[in-house]
Amino acid sequence: MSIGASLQNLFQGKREKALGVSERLMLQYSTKGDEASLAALFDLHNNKLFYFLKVLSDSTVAEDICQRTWIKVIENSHLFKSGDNFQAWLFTISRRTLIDELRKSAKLEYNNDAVESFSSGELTKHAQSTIEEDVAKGLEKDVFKACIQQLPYKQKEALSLQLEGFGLREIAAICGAEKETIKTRIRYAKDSLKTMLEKL
Amino acid sequence: MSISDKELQDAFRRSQQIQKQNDTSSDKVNARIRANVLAHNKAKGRENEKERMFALVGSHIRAYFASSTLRFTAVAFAIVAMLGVYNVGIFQSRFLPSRQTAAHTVDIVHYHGFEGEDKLLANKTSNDYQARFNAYTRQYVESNLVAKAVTLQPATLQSQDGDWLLVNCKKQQVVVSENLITSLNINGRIQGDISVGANVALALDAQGRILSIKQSNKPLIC
Repeated sequence: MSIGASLQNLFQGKREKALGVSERLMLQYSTKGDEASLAALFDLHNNKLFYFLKVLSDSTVAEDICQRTWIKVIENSHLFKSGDNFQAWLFTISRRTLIDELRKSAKLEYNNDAVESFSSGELTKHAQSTIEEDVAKGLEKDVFKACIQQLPYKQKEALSLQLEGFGLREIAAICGAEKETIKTRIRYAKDSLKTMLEKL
Repeated sequence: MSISDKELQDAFRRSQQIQKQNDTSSDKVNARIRANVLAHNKAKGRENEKERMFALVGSHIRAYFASSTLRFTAVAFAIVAMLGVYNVGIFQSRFLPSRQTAAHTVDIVHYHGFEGEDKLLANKTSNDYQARFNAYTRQYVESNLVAKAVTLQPATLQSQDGDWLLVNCKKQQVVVSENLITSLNINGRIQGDISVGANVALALDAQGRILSIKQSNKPLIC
């Protein structure tokens, strides 16, 4: 074996080692289109994806978007390249699909200024009463989810992604926003959320 | 005491777990989505298989047409075909000289026209369509007039100083001038071989003008 070939193999091995389980499964799926890889990917990520979508919308919309996201994964599997982060790719697809859906049903006015200018105090006050009522009625058992759902759309989106384990750069790429903007959104979101949780 | 980021993270994970374990509807939803997604994947797999087969066949065909084998085959076939046609021609011209390939024997020719047309068009060239049209029109008008004849009278043709003399049952005599005979002849109003002593049928209009003279086979009974 030549030195060049050995070096190439070494680099390839390193690259393969750096790939996560999901990425390897996705690459395998995009090459062979096998059901097993897709099922494994689904089992690994769907719960998180569904939770993310549920925080940003409701159960019905989340189910619909979840399914459409996976179908897009199947249809666009050839676009996934080695070195891409599968989870980030998946969440980007689902986020775009959700925004399209919300815009279509006019449930979301995607206005930056309106979202950012919400005062934390006003927000907490409003959210507090709603959650307390729901908890008292026994409608909401998961207080954390109830609280995070009360946050403005962009803030809960950025915070959910961070809590999911994405880095700032990845969140900025998923949301299509500046890193600093994402930082601000997360800070506001955390402050509001902490206040809400402490008061409960 | 303020909640730390770590605690927030833990709360998030706990919330996710709650959804996974306690929410039975989530399980059902999850299973439903999973089944739909995998079914879609299967359908896509079948579609891809078909596409792959078509692509494979297409690539084989393209490769065949692009190959030099096909070009050589086509050229060879063209040469053989040309030689074949040439030899068949030679054979026919040499060994089948009496065979007529282009001539046809015609037994019957159907001629479409109307009776007396030849006479009408005697002086007209066959390509003079204006003259033919006028002749046809005149013939039509005359025939129409005859058809509208009001009375039909029997008469006997006699001769008086070279002119025709028609005598009917009431012994009324009508002298037909030579000009009138010529005019009637031109318009085809004198029918049959009429000679002196013949019985004729006179077609007269409302004003008593002769429209046509026709030879009558019936004897004149007055």
